[in-house]
Amino acid sequence: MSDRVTPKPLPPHHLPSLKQIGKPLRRVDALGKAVGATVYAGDFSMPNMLHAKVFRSPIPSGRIVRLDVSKARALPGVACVLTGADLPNARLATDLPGQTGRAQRKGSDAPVLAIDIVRFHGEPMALVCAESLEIAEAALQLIDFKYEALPGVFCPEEALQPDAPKVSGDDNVVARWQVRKGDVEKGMAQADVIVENTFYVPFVEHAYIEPEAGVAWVDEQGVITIRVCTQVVEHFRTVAKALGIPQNRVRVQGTMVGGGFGGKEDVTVEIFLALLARATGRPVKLVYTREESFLATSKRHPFKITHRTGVRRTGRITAAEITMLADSGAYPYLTPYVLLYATGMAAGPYKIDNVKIDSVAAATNQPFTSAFRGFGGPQAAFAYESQMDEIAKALIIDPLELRRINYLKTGDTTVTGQAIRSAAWSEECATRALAALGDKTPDSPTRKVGRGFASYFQSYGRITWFHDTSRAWVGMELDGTVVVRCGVPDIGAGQSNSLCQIVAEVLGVPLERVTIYATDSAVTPLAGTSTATRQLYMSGNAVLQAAGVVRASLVKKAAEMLGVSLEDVDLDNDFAVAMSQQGPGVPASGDSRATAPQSRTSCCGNSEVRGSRGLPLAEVVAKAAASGLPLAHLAQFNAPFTDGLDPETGQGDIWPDFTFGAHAVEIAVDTETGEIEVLKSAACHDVGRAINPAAVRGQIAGGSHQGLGYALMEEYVVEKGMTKTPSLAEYLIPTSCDFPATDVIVLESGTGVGPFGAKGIGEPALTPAAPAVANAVADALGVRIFSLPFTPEKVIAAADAGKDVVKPDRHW
Amino acid sequence: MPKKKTALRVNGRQHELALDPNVSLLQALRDLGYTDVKNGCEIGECGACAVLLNGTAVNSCMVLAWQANGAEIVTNAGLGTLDKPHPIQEAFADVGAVQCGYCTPGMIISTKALLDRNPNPSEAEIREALSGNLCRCTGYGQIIEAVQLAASRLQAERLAVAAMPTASLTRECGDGGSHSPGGSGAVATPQASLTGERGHDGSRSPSGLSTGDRGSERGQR
Repeated sequence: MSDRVTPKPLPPHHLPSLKQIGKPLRRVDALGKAVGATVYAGDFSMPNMLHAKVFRSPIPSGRIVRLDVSKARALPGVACVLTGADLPNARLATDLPGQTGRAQRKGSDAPVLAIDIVRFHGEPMALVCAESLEIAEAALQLIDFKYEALPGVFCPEEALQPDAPKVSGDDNVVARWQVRKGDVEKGMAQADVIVENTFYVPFVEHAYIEPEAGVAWVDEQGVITIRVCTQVVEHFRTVAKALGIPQNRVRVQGTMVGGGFGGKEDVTVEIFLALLARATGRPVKLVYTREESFLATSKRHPFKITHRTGVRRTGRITAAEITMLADSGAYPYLTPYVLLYATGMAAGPYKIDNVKIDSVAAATNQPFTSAFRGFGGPQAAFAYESQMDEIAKALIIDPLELRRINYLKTGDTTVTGQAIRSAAWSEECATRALAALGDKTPDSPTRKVGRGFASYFQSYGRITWFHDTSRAWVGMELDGTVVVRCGVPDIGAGQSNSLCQIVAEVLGVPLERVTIYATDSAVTPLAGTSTATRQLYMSGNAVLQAAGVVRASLVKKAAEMLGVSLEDVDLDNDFAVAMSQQGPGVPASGDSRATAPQSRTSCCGNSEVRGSRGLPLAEVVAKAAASGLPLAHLAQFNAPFTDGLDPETGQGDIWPDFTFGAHAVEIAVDTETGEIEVLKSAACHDVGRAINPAAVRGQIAGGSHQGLGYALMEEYVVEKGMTKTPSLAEYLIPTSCDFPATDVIVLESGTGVGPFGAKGIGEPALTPAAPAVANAVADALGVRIFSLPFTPEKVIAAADAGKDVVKPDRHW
Repeated sequence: MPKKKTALRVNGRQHELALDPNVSLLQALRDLGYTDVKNGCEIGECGACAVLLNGTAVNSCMVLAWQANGAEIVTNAGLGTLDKPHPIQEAFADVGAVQCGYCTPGMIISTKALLDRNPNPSEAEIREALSGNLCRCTGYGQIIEAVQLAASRLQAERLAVAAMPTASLTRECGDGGSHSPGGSGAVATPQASLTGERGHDGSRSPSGLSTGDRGSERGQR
C-alpha cells in the first residue's frame, strides 16, 4: 500500500453555522453519572421486595424428564416458584420490538420458560423468588431436574442437512433472502479475473459493564410496572402479550442503561419480573450475574460468507456472487433482519450491476443470536473488504485505486436497487484515514509492520417497511426553562443529550436550561427503540418539529413586543432579539462557532444585560402564556414508509439512508509470538452533522475499540453447544492498555435525513475496524487469515506456513 | 455462621454492622445504600466496584467486609456531589469521558488513587493505572484525557492554595482520609493487609486493581 495518501478535497457543501449544534457541550447526563448520582436498574430497591433467580438449562439439547420444584417451594422464605408447566401459554414474541404496526413473523416466538424440550445451554426453565437473594439461590439448588439428552446440532451447515436434528420448524431454516440484479453470468463472462474466497466470523458477546437488572411491582391501579435497563420500552407490549393482559396494564420505566449495543434490545428480565410480581403481589428484583448475562442473552451472529467476484483488468467489478450462512442459535429473535442487513450490505459501498446473493440462517443448539452493534453489517464488511484487497492483490493494483474505481456515488443504486440520495464520501474518508497514519513505522527483525484500511457503508434508521415512528413533547416553563418528554432510552451514546441540544438550538436557550424526562412507556411519548442508529434521526426530527411549534409562539409574541416582523426575530442565549437592530451588548446570532456567546447565563433571565433591543425570553414566555399561545407541543415524526422487497429479486428500498466512512490501521506482527500490536488507528466518517462533536468522537473512538477487539481478541467460545467463556477473565474485551486511541476525523456533509442534515454514527463506527486490521495483517505477512479473531495461533500458522489460513479453529 | 462485627467508616459516616463472614465489601456497601459502587462481575475482573480503602483503590468485590473492619472507605459519591463535584468528576463530565457511566465511578476511584500518589502521570502511567477498570463504550481515549485534565486542574488548585497566605484545602466532604488536613497531598498509608488468599489467578493481588495483569493474561491464552 502506498505510504503517503493525499486527502481528497471535499465537494462543495453548505454547513450553516449554529449556536448550540456543533459544540462539544457537557452532556446533560454526564455529571450525574460522574458523581454516582444516577440510579441504574440494579441500584433500585423497594420496601417488602423479593429477590428472584432463574433456573437455567445446564445442557444444550434435551428432553425434560422431571422438573420437580416442590422442595424449592417448601424452603422457608421462598415466596414463589414458577415453571413452564405453570405457564403453558406464556410465549415471548421475539420479533419486531418497538413502534411498528407491522405483523410479526409466524414461528418467531420462544417459550418464556422451557416446556418439554431445552434447546440451548442457559435456556430459562424456572423462576424462584424469595425473601433474600441467599434463599433464592438456595432454592435453585433444590430444584430436581432430570433430562434425557437429545442429539443436538452445533453448526449451521449441519443444521441444513436433511437428517439433522430439528431445532426450528421442519428444516431448521430461520430465514432466507435472495438478491438478483442484472445478469451475473453475463457479468462473470465480461470479467478478466474471478476471485473467490470464504470468510468466517465467530460468536461475539456485547459485554456491557452493567448486567441486566430490574425491579417490578404492581401499582395502585393494578398496572404491572417494570423498572429496567432496556433499549426498548415498547416491550411493555411484549410483556402484556406473554401475560395475556391488556397493553395498558403494563408500564416499562426505563433507566439509564449501562451499555446496550443491541444486547438489551430483546426482552431480558422483564417478563420474569412481571410474572413474579403478579404472582406474589410484591415488588421483585432480578439482577443477572455476569455469567448469567453471558449465558442468557444474545450474541453477534457467526457467519460463513463466500464471495465470487468478477473484475476487469482495469479494476472495474463486473459481477458479484455472494452466499451467506448465519448461525441463528436456538431461537429466531432478530436473526431474519440481521440476515437482511448483512444481505443488503453484502457487496459493500460499491457499484455493481450484476449481483446474485443467497443468504440463509439456520437454527442450532447454540446460544441465540440477535442484534449487536452493526446488525449484520460488521460481518458483511469483514468479508467484502477482505475480498477487495484480495482482488487488488490478484490484479496487482493499489487497494485504494481499486475501490476508487468502484465506489458508490450519490445517485447510484445498491444491490437491492435503492438509490443513494445523500453524500457518499467514501474516497474522502478513506484518504483522510490513511493520511492520518503518517509515516510508516519500519520493520524490525522479528516484527513485520503492515497497513490496511477498509471502507464501508451502513444504514441508519429502521427497515422502512416497519413503518417506524417517534414522538416527542417540548414545553416552556414560565421562567423560560424548557422541558422535553420523550420515550427515548439512553444507552450511553448521548441519546437524550442530543435531543436537548437540538431543543436548545431551536429555542435559543443554553443547554443547562433544558431538562429531559425519558424512557418511560407511561409518561413519556413513545419514541421507539434505541437501536438501528435511529434515535438521533427519528426522535431528533420529532423534537425538532415540537420545538419549532413552541418557537413559533415565542417569535410571534416577541415580534409584537419588539415591534418588528416575524422574520426579524431570533431567539438566542435566553433572549429574543431583533436581528435588524442588533448592536453591541446584545447576543449576536448566526455567529461563527468560535465567537458565539457562551451559554452560561444565570438561571433567571437577568434583565440587567437585556440591552436596548433584546427581551429576556422569560418575559416573552409570560406574555405568550397570558395570550393563550401554545407553549408546549407533542410532535410525531414518521420515517419513509415502503412496502417491502420483491421476494424473487430482493429489489426495493430497505432503509432511510446510509452513512459512509473508513478506518485505517498500522499494525506490527511479532512473527515469533504471533502477537499483533496496533501501532496506529485512524477513522474518518461523514456523520452528516455532528450535533455534539465530543459525543460523536466518543461513538467513533468507542466503536473503533470494539471493532479492534472483534479483530484481535474477542471470541465467545461454544463447544458442542456449551459456553466455554462465561466470564470477563475468559472472554477478553479491550483494556486501557491494549490499543492506542483511534485518531477520529469527522466530516460533515450536511446531507443526512436526521436533524440539521445529521446521519447516524452509533453502529457504523464499529464496522470498518476489523477488516482494516485484516488487510493490515495480510499486508504485513503477505498471506491472509480468513477468520476472526486473529489469534496468535493463527498468526503463527500463517507466518510459518507462508500461506493463507482459511478455516477458523471452531464452529465450522 | 456467627456474624462478624464490622465497623466501616464510609464517606465520613460511621457504620457498626454484624455481617455474615462471607459478605463482600461490595455487597455490604450496596446494602448500606452506597449504590454508586457498581456490581459488574463480582470476581475482580471489571473494576466497576472500586473504592478507596485507606487510600488504596481496591475491587470491593474481592474484599470481605469484615476484612475492612476499622477501615476508612471512600466511594466515588464520597468525592463529590452534583452541587460540588470533585475536579476529577468534573473533568470526566467535561471531556466526554462518560458514556453509559457504569464504569465511571470505578474509573474515578482509580484516577483518584493514581493522582494522589502521582500528581502528574504520563499517558502510559494513566493507562496502566486504569487497566483494571473495563470500559466498553469509550475506547478509553477520552477517559485518559479526563485524567490529564483533572491532573492539571488539581495542580492549578494546589498552586492557588499554596499562593494563599493561610493555606487550607476547602473541599469539605469526600476526600475522606486520603488528603492530610494540611493539604499536602500526602496519601494515607493503607492499614488493612489484604493480599493473598482470594486471588483466583496467581498473577494478581485480589485487593488491588493490579496493573498490567490483563495484558499478561492475554498473552497466556
